[in-house]
Amino acid sequence: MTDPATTSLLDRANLDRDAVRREVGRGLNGADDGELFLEYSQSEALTFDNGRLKQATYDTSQGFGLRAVKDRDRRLFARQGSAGAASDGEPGRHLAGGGNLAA
Amino acid sequence: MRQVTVSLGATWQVVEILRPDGESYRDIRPLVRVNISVVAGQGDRQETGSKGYGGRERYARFIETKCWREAADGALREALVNLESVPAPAGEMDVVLGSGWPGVMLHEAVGHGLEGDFNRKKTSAFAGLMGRQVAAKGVTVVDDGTMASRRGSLSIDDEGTPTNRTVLIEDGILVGYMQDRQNARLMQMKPTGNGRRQGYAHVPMPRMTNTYMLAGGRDPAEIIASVKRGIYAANFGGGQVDITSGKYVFQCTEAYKIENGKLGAPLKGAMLIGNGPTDLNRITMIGNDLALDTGIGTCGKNGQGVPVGVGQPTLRMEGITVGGTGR
Repeated sequence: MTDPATTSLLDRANLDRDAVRREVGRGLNGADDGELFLEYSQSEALTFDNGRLKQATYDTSQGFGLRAVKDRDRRLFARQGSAGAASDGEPGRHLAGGGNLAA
Repeated sequence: MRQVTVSLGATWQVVEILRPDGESYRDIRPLVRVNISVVAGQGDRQETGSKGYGGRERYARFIETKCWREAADGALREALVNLESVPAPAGEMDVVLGSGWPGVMLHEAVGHGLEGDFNRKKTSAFAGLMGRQVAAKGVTVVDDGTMASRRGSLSIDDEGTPTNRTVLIEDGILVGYMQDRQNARLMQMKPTGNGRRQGYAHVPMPRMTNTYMLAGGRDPAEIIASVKRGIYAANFGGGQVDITSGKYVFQCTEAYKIENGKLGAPLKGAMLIGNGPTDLNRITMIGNDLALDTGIGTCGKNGQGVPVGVGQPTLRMEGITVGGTGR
C-alpha cells in the first residue's frame, strides 16, 4: 500500500514552506480550485531474453504542476521538471480505450 | 520452448500536494511488476503465453521462487494450450467469462462510462441514468482504491482526497460515479478519491483505481455446465471501447469451446464484440469465485497511463457476438 511520506519534497529541495504556501495562495487567487503537485520518482526495468540480460534502464524525474481551475472547463496549468536517463518505462499490459474523448 | 522473456520493473514515486487553503498531503507509492512470456513451438507452428504480477510493495515478495515459478508455469501452460488451438467459431452465442483479469472488459465497457467527466459532459452511455436499472439484478460493481498493496490502490488521490470504496452499480441499479474535485463540484457531488494523473506534467481527471464486480452464488463448474453451445473466455489481451456508444471489442488470449456443458478444444483468435451497457443486462449467472487480477493493468485515457486493478467472478452472458474464422 502507499504510505504517507514523512519527508517533505519541499524540505528536500530546501524550499521555504510558508513562502511556497503564500505563492500557491496568490497564484490560485480567484480560481475555483487548483493545487501545486510536486513529484519525485525513480524507476528501473530489467529485461532478460533466454536468461541473458537484454536491457537495463534506470530513470529519475522530478517536477511540479501548478493548476488553477475556473468555472466549468477553464484551466491554467504550468509545469516544470527534470528527468534522468531515458527509460523504457514500466512493462505493463495497457488497457486501450477511454482515451478517445478530449477534455 | 523456443524463447523465454522475463521483465522486472519498479517505480518509487513520492508526491506532495499543496492546496490553496494551506492544506498539504504527502504519499509514497512503490510499484513493482514482473512479467514472463514464453514462445512454444511444434514444427512450423509457434504460440505465445504470458503471465504477469505485481503490486504496491517492494521487490521481496515478488521475487520469491513460489511467485515467479507459478507465473512461469502459467505462461508455459498458456502457450502449450494455444499450440493445440483451433480457429474460433463465429456468431452469436453464450459466453462464459473467467474470473480475474477478464474483468478488463468490465473496466473498459462499463467502468470508463461511470467516470464523472464523461457523465457531466453527457458523453457516456450511462449519462442521466442515475438510480435506474442499468444491469441485470445481482450485478454489483465497485471501485476500491483502499485495498492493501493492490496495483490500483492509493492512500490519497493526486488531488489529496483519500481514496474510497465507491459502489457504482448495486444489484443492477446505477448508484455512483467516480469523481475528481472539479467534476464533483460541477455535478454537486462529493469527490470520491478518483482524481488521478500520470505525473506532475499531466492534469488530474477521474480515473479508476481497482474496479471489480462482486461475487454471486454460482459454482463456476455449474456455470460452464449450463451452456449448450458457446465459448469460455479464460483470459484476454487488451480491448477497446467507445465511451459514448459503449461498443467494445476484446481479443481472447485463452479460450475454449463449450459443447453440451463441457469444455472442448482451445480456440485461436476468438474476439468478443458487443456493447457494455447492453451486455450488462445479458449477465445471467454470477460465480462465487471473485478474483482480482494479479497486478498487471495500466489504463490509458487522454494520453495518460495510470496503474489500475480489475476483477470479477466467473460470469455467464447470453447472446454475445463472437468473432472468429472457424465454425
